[in-house]
Amino acid sequence: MYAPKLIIEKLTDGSAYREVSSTILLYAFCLLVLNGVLIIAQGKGSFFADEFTRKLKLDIGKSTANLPLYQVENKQHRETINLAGNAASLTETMGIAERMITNVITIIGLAAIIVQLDAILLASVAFVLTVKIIITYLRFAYDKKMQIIQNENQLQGEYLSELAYFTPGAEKEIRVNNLENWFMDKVKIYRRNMLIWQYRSFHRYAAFESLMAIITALQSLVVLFILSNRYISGGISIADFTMYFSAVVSLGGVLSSVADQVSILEKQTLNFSHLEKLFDLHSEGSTGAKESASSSIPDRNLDIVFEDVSFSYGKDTPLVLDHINLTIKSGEKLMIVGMNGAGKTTLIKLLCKFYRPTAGKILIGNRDIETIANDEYYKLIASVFQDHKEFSFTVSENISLSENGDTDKIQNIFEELELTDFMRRLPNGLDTHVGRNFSNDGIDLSGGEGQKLAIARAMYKDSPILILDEPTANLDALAESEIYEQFLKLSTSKTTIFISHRLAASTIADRIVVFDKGNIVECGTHDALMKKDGLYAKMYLKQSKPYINRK
Amino acid sequence: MKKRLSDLSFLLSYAWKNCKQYYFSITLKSLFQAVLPFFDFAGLGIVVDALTKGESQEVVTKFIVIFLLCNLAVSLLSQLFTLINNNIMRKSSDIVQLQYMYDAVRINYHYAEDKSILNLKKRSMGGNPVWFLSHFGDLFKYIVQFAGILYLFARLSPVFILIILMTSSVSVLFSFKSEKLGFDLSKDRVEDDKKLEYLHKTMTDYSFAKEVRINRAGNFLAAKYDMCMKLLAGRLKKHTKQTIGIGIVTAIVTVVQSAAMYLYFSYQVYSKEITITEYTVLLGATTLLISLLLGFFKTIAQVRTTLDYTDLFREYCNSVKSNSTISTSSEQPMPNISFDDLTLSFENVFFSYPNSERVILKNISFTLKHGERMGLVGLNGSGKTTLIKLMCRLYDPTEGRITLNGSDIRTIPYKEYTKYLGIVLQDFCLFAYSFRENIIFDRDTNITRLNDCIEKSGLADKIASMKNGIDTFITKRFDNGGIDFSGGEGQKLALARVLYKNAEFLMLDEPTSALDPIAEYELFSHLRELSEGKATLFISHRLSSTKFCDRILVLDGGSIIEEGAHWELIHKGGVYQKLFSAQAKYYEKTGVDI
Repeated sequence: MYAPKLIIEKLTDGSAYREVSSTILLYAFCLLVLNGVLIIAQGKGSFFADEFTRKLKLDIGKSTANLPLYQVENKQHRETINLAGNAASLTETMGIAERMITNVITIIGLAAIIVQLDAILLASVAFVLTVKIIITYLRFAYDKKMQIIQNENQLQGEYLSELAYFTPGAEKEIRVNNLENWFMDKVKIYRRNMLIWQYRSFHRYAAFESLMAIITALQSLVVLFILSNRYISGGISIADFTMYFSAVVSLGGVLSSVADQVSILEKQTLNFSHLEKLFDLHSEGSTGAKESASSSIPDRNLDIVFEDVSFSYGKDTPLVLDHINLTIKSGEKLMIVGMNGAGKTTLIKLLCKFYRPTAGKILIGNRDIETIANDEYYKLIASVFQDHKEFSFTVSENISLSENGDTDKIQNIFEELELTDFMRRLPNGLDTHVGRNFSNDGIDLSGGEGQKLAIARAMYKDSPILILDEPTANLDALAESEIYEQFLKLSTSKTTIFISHRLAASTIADRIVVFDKGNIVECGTHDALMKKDGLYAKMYLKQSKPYINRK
Repeated sequence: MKKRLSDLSFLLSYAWKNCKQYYFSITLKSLFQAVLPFFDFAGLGIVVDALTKGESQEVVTKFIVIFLLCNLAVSLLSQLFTLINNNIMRKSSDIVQLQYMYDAVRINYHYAEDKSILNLKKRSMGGNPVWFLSHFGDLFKYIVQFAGILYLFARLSPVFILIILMTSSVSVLFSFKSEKLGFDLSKDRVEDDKKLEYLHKTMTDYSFAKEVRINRAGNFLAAKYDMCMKLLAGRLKKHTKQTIGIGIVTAIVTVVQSAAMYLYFSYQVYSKEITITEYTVLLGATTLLISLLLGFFKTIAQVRTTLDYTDLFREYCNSVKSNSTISTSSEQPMPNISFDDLTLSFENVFFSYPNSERVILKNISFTLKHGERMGLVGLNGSGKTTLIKLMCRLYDPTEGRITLNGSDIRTIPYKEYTKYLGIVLQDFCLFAYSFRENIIFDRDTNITRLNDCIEKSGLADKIASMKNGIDTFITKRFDNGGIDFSGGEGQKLALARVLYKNAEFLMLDEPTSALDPIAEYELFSHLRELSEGKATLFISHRLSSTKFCDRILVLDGGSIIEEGAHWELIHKGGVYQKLFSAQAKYYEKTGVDI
């Protein structure tokens, strides 16, 4: 704003053309340098902001991956992760900071111009600004409330598109059961809620902006009145009149944009508070050890002891495990059987430290597992879950869960699991991708193949304790009996705990524990339990009948 | 060029179809915005004019009030326009988003599973036809303003205007280039972003949580993320460099232009050709002209980008259209066949997955008759589940045909056909809603039948034990009182669902793999009763459960190698016998003692 005025002054006070042109060239040069710096700063700035966003997401991922399972399961917590993810759009925050700085500089400059003329003008501007900030703040409070309401709907939307795009089971279900209308109704409700919210915020915004416009008009009225008064009384020239007026107008503009940015910044702070919450949780719960860190765990004695362990998923919900006392000797092969929902899987989850017992404690090698740091603890345990998952990475990475898996070791495991046929099917050997997220020629696994992969993963880990939750549910008869025989061979020195509904597997178990409604009702070898003629015998007879009858 | 024109007409007609009001509102808004700066300028001019003419304070005040009132009216109006436009735009983008979801559930299953359509969708998203209209509105605005400025410039040397135009063309070229770069980048980074999104999901999502913890995979995943991030950063770095380069060149051109302009106008002041007032007006006008030219061509470049996106969007639409053959068959007329005593036949069916040469099913022929119970047995990977997929028409056979009472199932509207299918998939899906909804969905509620199904599937006790009963949510995703299901309980629910549907064909793909022995036994004793009067197909690895079937097919390497009743196959001493004794031997060994 000053430069053109300078040039005009030079022109009017009769300096030589050369002088004017040198001023112009100087001005141009300054402009060029400024713009250049600005462009580079902006380009780099947005690059770094973008980069920072991704790094922040990585941090969110890292800390979530270390949180105890029960926290990840909780609905509020998932909302926290979601909102913290919004904070990751740091580009916005950086942009705001940048604009704030430029605006503040502009404000100071303009204020300096205006104050030369009249303090009343400045006061009027300051007053208007205060009013605007108050209104903005009110609007922000409303936005904050809405954002929380909206977040729930957003989760609904994410779930629906996950079903439609990423869940083969749901995709099939929707088609085969003709659920298109049902599903689309859900989508419509979600979108309608979103639209209602958005329309409402548009309306609020328009109302707010109109109010601002009225205030600005009033302000201009005062300013113009004062200025014209000055001119008529001969205080200022017409050039001053226009300059001051445009100074006041631009100051008003800049100020209201500052008010806007304050409100965006506040919104971001809200997201950041969720991020902070997440990181706090992380530092609380990640090490997994309540007391000071671990001394190394004795290799020989790895007896697992459940001492009076009870568990329920919530305060008001019934006990899933009811005062369980159980000792599993180092190297023992223990089979857990029971009806669906008897608490077998929950017991495993406790042993995996996914949940903490509601009462009682679990000891390994005479140490409360709560006092063992997770990093140490999970070296001891390998597990094949009922709902095992494969990752969209290479086969080798899926098994070793590291960048450079030991190829020979994997080959050996594949041979032991008689997976060599499967190996031959892989176009790029162990480097073949599973799924198509990372490679277009990735392959899809059948249920049985997925299960074998999960078993291979557990075997690769080579931990002293092996947990298998229904390891053969999806396997065909031959594969099933192979797996059992492999177990005998592979896990000779390992403590093995396996859950199976196929009671034939009991032949390889040293001991069988029978669960019913959260209690251990029977315990012993196959023969002892058959003699006892309790739940186990009943189950066994039911299952073996079709096979035995053929005699 | 021809392609662009056709894209353009596609866009315009698409937008017209979806959102006619927008045409109207955008025209109004642009026109309004175009005159706005002139109006503003004139308004203040009147006040200044009155001042310089030495009018009294009252007159001047009157002008000020008029000026401000007009100004206020204008800004309120523009708020109104923005509001209307925003609402319309939202509505129209909502239409597109809904369409995407419709497409997702209608497209042939294979293309839903194969992620290419998803990629195409993501890449095409920049091409929302309705947003494009706002560019069009901007162009209109610029043209109106341009006319206004030309009027002001009438008295300047045409050489000067030509110089401005020529130098601007450099900036224009570069802004084209920068748009192109942006388009290419967004196209390229789709893959990277998808990977990052997936990795973020594996780290934060509940479904991966157990694997990640027990295997301490957090660091591994983080390292993967880091690698993907660096790859993307490399791309972005290059892009940033180019953008900065372009920005600097453009800045130089702009500065040179303004310097030339100042020099030229100042010279004219010296040579007394123009007055100081004219000088300021012209300076303002030229600045406006330069930004206008830049804006105009930038918008053109944006329109071009939009057209590129439109191309992708059309490709997406076509791809969806040509790959939705199965669900669009719902619109074809019902063939005239009887639906009594349904019989389903495979006639010399061959099948390979699209884009794959591996033959999964070879020359499969069999007939499943009304009232028959059929078992399907085979090793992992022998094609059993694929066969089910064909039966459900998730895929069409590559060769041969599948008929229902003699009619090719492809001639039957899909929605009609699926009415006859009751299936428990191996990877059945429990939705994160209530029990009730998971069983009934949007069908009519029949409480007696519902309770009956719950009873038969063995879920009654479980449901009775819950506070909210049948309205309890599954998983805690949408309700903290929701419950997580064990695999066996899930299977029971999936079974209740299929029982409620009460379809003519009952297909069960490994329905008991996670059930406890007693539940399994009970299920099978019920099934005898439930499959009465229906055609039933069983897939199971537990051969005890296929034993009671009237007929058993043994699949190996995609062909039917054995067929017959249990005893026939046992006596035959083939693959079936081998499989059966593999399972039976454990029971025999231990069972002898009893």
